Amino acid sequence: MPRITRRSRVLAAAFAAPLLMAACAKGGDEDQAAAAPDTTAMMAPAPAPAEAAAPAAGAVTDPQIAAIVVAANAADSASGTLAVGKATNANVKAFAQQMITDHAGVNQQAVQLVTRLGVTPEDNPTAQGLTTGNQEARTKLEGLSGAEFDRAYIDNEVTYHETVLGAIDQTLIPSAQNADLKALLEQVRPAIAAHLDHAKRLQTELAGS
Amino acid sequence: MSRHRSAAAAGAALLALAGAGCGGPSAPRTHAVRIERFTFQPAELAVSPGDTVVFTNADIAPHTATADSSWDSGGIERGRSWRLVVPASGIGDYLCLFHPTMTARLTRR
Repeated sequence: MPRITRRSRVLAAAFAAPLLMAACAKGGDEDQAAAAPDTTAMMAPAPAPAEAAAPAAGAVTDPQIAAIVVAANAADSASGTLAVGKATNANVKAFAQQMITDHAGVNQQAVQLVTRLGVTPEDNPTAQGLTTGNQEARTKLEGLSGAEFDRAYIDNEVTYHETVLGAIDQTLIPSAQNADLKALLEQVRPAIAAHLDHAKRLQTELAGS
Repeated sequence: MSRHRSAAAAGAALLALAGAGCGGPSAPRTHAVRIERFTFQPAELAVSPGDTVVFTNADIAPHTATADSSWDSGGIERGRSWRLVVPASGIGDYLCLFHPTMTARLTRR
């Protein structure tokens, strides 16, 4: 039932932003310092300066990717916050809370990486479109309630995650020049795929209720 | 055949038995499951009751390892580990409660 619209494509792009959002949300990472010793190695790649490599035609630069990630992360977190307050179905509410939690995790990773690389996110039409598209979607959702809200929110989540997954595969990962940024995008991809599967499962569940 | 050779053969047999005992199916073992890229790795792990399984979350988000009513890690934060001593009733399918599409299985060894 999800409709693929320009708005949803924009939303999709916004979803990729959870990564970059980290750049805006510092702190709360003390627990990581206490992580089990056998797991810390994964968190400590050697610092590598971001290279100002010339992107291929139609590609985006690393600072632009960072801005897209931030915007996408912010967008889905904002939708999740709205849904935690408005959803009536317990599973939908739990899903919304999970989106907030997972994007916070991505944010932490992204902030750490962007800080380490010294990359300043650079605003661009894709990032702006994500933010604008999400605002439009939330405005519509705010006018709904009950089961209608639950279905519309989950429909949006399915479409959004499909779009973001497409953006990650077709634009962000192929364009990323810095190896650590590319690795982060590759690490985030399974999260987006899992969120999409979860949202589709809820979509089916809601259709049968 | 000399007495020496017989004794050596007997000793070797005893050592072999002792070695088998250390690694045999009855000795509790410790296994590792890595949670990464929204999957449990390995997705299928052969264990015996009394074995220990250490779940380590190397992912970007918190996860759980949860078997129906038998055992439940609760939330495992990124970079943390949780240790399960496998109960007799705890061998079978499990999942992440936060991300229910993440599933894996303990089988009997």
